[in-house]
Amino acid sequence: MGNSDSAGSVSNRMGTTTTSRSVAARVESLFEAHIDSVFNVGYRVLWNRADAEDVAQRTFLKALQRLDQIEDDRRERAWLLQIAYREAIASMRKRREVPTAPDKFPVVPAPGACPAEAAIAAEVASRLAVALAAMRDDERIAVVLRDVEGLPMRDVAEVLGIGHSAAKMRVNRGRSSLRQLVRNAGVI
Amino acid sequence: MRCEDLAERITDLLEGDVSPEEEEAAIEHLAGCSRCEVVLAETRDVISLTADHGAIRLTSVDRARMLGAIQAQATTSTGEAQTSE
Ligand SMILES: [Zn+2]
Repeated sequence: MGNSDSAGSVSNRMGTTTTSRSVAARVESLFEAHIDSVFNVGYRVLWNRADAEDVAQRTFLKALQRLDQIEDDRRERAWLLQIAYREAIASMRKRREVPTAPDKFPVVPAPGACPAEAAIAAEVASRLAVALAAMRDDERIAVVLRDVEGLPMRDVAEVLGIGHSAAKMRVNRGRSSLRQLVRNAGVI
Repeated sequence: MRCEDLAERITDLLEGDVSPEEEEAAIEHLAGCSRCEVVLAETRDVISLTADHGAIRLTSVDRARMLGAIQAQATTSTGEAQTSE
């Protein structure tokens, strides 16, 4: 894989005080802050839980090798999601079988939700997942980045590697097609 | 402004990314076109629906398992953990 070489050179750049303990702490803080977003990007591209977990794992390991690239904390998530998106696209191109139906996810209820609220939320989330799966790939990921992850448009453009106006167009078209899909599904 | 023009600019409108003249033209169109008014309202609904229900939250068990696997790989590849193996 070549992971050990590149990770080793990063720990040199970070200085001799770097220990496995501080690396572990850095991974843990990145992971805790961003795992749901990273997983979400992988999952919405690949629709398969195991593949999305692989993407998440590779994303954090790559991020660790490139910690010196983080400009500021505010952009940390866009930077990680760009790595995740590229990993997910690479996985999608490599795999032979495309899942015919998305893996189902047990919805983790919001803290303090009563069982009835949790059941409604689960039903809405499940219908939304079906609608998302029916979208064009390029429009779906743009909507996920902008509306689920809440990235500013310029970060959506950066993660996708496209221009600002192209990103806006994808988000706009994606919202329009999702609007029709959820309306047909009776969610709005 | 025609309905197609408005449909193309909905995201710009919602993000405030339009000139005052364009905004005025959009407001004028919306006042006289109930179809576009519905489209705009539904677009707002779909944005909040996606924000509220589109995220996958991993369980704490899954998080712990995934973090463990990543840390095992990360510390092994720095070479620090290899002496303990
Ligand atoms: Zn109209």
